[in-house]
Amino acid sequence: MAVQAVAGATPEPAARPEAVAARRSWFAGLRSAKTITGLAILGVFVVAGAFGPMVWRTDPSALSDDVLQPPSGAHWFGTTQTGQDIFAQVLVGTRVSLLVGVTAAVMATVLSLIVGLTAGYVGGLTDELLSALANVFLVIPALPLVVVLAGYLPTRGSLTVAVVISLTGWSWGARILRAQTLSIRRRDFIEAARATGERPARILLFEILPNEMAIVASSFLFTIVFAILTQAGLAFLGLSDVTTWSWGGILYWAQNNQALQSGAWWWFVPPGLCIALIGTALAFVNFGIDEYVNPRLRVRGFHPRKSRRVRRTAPKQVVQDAGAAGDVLLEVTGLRVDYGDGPNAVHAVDGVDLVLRRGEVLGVAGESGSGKSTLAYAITRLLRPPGQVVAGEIRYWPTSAGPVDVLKMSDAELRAFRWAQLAIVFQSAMNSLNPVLRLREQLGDALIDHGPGMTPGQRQKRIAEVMTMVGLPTDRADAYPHELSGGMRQRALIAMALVLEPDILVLDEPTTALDVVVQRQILTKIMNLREQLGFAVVFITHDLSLLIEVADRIAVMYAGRIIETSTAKQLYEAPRHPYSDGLLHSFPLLHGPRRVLTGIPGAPPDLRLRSAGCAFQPRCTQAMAACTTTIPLLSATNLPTEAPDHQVACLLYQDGEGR
Amino acid sequence: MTTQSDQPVLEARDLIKHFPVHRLRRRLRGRAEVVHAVDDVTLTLRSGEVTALVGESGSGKSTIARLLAGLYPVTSGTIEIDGATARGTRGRHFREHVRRVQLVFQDPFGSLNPIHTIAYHLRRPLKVHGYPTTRAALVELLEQVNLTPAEQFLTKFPHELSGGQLQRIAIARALAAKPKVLLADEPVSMLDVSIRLGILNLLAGLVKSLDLAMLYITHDIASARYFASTTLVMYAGRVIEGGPSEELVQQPAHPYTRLLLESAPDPDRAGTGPDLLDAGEPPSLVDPPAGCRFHPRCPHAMDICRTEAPGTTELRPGHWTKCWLYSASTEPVPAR
Repeated sequence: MAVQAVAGATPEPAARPEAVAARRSWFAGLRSAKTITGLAILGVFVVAGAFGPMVWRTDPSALSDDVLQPPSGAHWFGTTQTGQDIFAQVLVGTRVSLLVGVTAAVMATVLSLIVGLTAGYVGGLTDELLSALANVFLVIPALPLVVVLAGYLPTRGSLTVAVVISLTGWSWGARILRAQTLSIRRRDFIEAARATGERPARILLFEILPNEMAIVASSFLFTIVFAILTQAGLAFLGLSDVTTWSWGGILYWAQNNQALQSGAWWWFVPPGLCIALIGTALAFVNFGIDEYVNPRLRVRGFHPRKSRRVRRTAPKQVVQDAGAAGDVLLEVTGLRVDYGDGPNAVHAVDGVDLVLRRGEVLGVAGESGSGKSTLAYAITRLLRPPGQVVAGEIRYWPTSAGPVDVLKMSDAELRAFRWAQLAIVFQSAMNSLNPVLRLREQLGDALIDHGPGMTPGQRQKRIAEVMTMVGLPTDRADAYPHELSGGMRQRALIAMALVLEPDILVLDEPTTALDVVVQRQILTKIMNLREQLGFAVVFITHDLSLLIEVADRIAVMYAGRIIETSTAKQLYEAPRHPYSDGLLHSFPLLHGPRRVLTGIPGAPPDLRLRSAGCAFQPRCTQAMAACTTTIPLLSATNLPTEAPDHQVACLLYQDGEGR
Repeated sequence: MTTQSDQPVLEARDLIKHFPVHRLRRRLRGRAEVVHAVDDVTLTLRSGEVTALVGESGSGKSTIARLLAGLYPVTSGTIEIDGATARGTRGRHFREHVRRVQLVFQDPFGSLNPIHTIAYHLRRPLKVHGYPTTRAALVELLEQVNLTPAEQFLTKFPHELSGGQLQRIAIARALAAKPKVLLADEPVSMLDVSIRLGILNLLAGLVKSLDLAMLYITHDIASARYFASTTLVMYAGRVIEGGPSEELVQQPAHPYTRLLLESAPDPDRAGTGPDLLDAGEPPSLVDPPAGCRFHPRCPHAMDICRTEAPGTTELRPGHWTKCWLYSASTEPVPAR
C-alpha cells in the first residue's frame, strides 16, 4: 500500500521532461537540412566575395587576346569579347552585389523597424501619418522610382545605389511590422508588463521586438534579395557605374555585346546563376530562423514515449448485444483515436465503450486533454489528420433497420447520415457559421441537400418553423452572423442542427463561451425541444455541475478513457472513482455550508507522456503500488447491485486488488 | 500580521469610463458615440479581505480592474490608495501606483511573454520597483505560490508549463512589487476545473498571510460565495447590489441578482431549473436603456424604472441594492 503523498499543500509538480530538451535544442533550427544548405551556399558566396579577388589575382578589367573563349583551365568561366576574365569579374561582382545587398537591407530594415514599431505602438495620428507614408512608397513601383532617383544622383557608386534601394525597400517591412506590433500590443503580456510598471521604451524593445524577430529577420533576408536584384537591374540598364564590376554589370556588357546571339552562354549564365543561387540560399536560411527565434518551436516533434509493456486487469469485456434491447441508438465499442503515427502517436481516445439510448441525455465530462472533444469528432467522423481512428466500432441503430457502422460508411452514406440522423453543435458559434451567408441561406442549405422533394415555399416554411422553435425571431432570417448576439448565434446553430429532425444531437461545449443567463436559456431550450422531438443528446463539457443537472447518464473521461459511468444522480451522490469524487469537490456550491474545498492536486495529464499504470495515479490520494503498473478497465465489479449502470475503472473496486 | 481593516486601502468613487466608438462612424453620424463601459461605480477594498465583483461578460467588470490598476485613464471619478489620490497612467506617478496595486490576468497562457524565461518575468518587477533581484528573491517568490522545487522553474519558458503553473507564476509576478492591493481578473476561468480551487485557495492564503486587499472578478457567483467576504454584482456597467457574500447569495434583492443565481449551475436542483427563456440579453452599452439598465428584462419593471436610475437602498447593514422595488419604502418583493 504505497500511498502517494500528494494531498495537502498542493505543491505543483515540477515541469515536464521535454523542458530539458528545449535548451539543448537551441540550435535545432540550424540542424535542418534546408538551413544548412542555405548557410553553406551563403558561406561560399561570402568567402568568394571577401577573399576571391585576393586569391584569383587576374584583373577583371584587363584586356587580353583570348577573345570569347569558353570556360577552360586558365579562364574558369571563359572570357568576354575583349578577352576579360569572367571568373574574376564574377568574384568582384559577388563582393559588390553582397555589399550593396547587405547595406541596403540593413538601412531598409532599420527604417522599417523605426516606422513600423512607432506606428504600431504609438497609434493614433502618428500611426495614420506613418502608415500613409509607407503606403505611398508601397504603391510606387520600385524599379521606375529607382531609375528616376538613380538618374538624378550626382554619383553612382555602390553606396549611393544601396541608399536608393533601401529607400524603396523599407515600406513592405514597415507595413508588416506595424501590423504585427498592433496585434502584439493588444496581447495580455504587454498589458501585464505595463501593469508591472515597465516603461514604454522597454516594452517596445524587450517585450514586443523580440516577438517580431522572425519577421524582422525574414524581411531583412528578402530585402537583401530585393536589393541584389534591383542592383542587378540598375546595372543591367546601365544606370549604375558600369565600370564597377557587379553581377548586373556583367550582364550589361554581355547584353551590349550580343553574347546571347553569339552563343557565349558562359558570359551571362554565371552572374544569372549567382543571383538565383543567393536568392535560394537566403530563402532556405529563412526557414531556420523561425525555429531559432521562437522558443516554442525549438522543441521539435513529440517527446519519445517510453514503451513499457502494460498489464491490463481483465480480458476485454464481451460487449453484450445491447441493440437487441431495442432502445440503443448509438453504440461505441473499443474506440481508439491516435494523433500521429508510430511510437510517437498520442492516444487521445484509448479504448472507449459508450452506449447512447433513444431520447436520453448522455453527458461526457472531462478536462483538457481528456479526449472528450476527440470522441465527439470521431463519432461524427469529422476527425482530421493527424487524428485517426485506429480501432473500434461506432454502431448506429436506425429505428427500422439493423445497425450500421458509422466508421465504415461511404462518403455518400456519411453525408446522408450526418445532419439528417446526427447533428453536431460546436462551442464557437461564430466559427461554425459562414460569415458571408444570411441565416436563411445557411438553414436552407441543409434542406436543399437532404430534402430534395421540397419546394422553395416548403423550405421557407420549415426555416421559419425551426427558428421559432429555438426562440429566434423569424425576422432575423435575413441577418448575417455578425449581426447576431452570441446567444442568438448559438440558437441559430441549434436551429441548423435540428432542421432535419436528427435522432442524435452532439453538443460540444455548446454554451461555454456564453454568459450564465444565456447559457441557461439555451440549455432549457434544448431540453424542452428534446422532450418535444425525442432526439438523444450527447453533451460534452468540462462543467460537471451543469451535467449533473441536465444529463440522464454521465461518463467521466480522463486521459482518453472513461473512468466512471453512471446515472447523474448516482454519480453526484456516490461517486466511486477518486477523480470523479475530486471533480465533484472542485466547484463551490450555492447552498449548504461553506467548507474548504481542495480540488485535485497536480495538473491534468500530458498525453504525450504516457504512464504505464492508471493515468490518474500521480494525482490520486488513494493510489496503491499496483496503480503504477496496471491500467484498470471499466467494470461493475464490487459495486452495489442496485446500480447496474454504475461502472468504474479503478483498482479500488476490482477483485483481488485493493479495497 | 493582523491589521485593523476598518480603514480602506483602496477607495474608488463614482468611477466612470466611456470608450469612444470608432472615429469614422462618429464623424458620419455627426455626434460623439461612446460605450458606457462603467458608470458611477463606487467600491472600497480593505486589507485582509476579498471583495468579489460578479458580472457577465460586457458588464464592465474587467474595465474596472484596468481602471484600478491604472492601465486606463478614468473618464471621471477618483481612485484613492491609503487616502492619496492616484493620478496618471504613465510616468512616475503611474509606477508609484502600480507598486501598490497589481493585477493578475485571466489568461495565464497569454499574460506571459513567450520569449522570456520565468526568471525574467519575476526579475523585471523586482527591478522596476527597486527591490534586489537575487536568485534567492526569485526563489522566495516562487515558494510563495507553492511552486517547488523553485529552482527548476526559473530557467523555463512559459510554453513548458501547465496552465495552473503559469497562473501561479503570474501571481508571483504580481506579488514581486509587494503590493497592498491585488486585483484578480477571472484568475481561474481559463483553468481546468480540478485545479481551480488550488489557485483560489492559494490566493485566499496570500490575502491572509500578506494582508492584501483583494478584488476577485468573476462570472461565477458560487465561487464568489466560497471565496469572498463581500460580493458586488455588476450589470451593464453599474454595480446594482452589494453585501456580505453569504447573505447576498441566500437573500438576493435585485431581480438581476436573482436571475443570475437561478441561472447558475446547481447540481442540487432537479430537472432543468427554472424557465428563463424570456429573460432576454444584456443591452448595448453604446445606447444603454434609460433609467434602470435592467428594466427591459425585469419582470417587476415599473414606469419609474424606465425613466430614472434608482439610488442606493440599504436593506440590512452592509447589504444594499439599486432598485426601485426597495427604494420607496414599499414592502420588499419576497425572495423566491
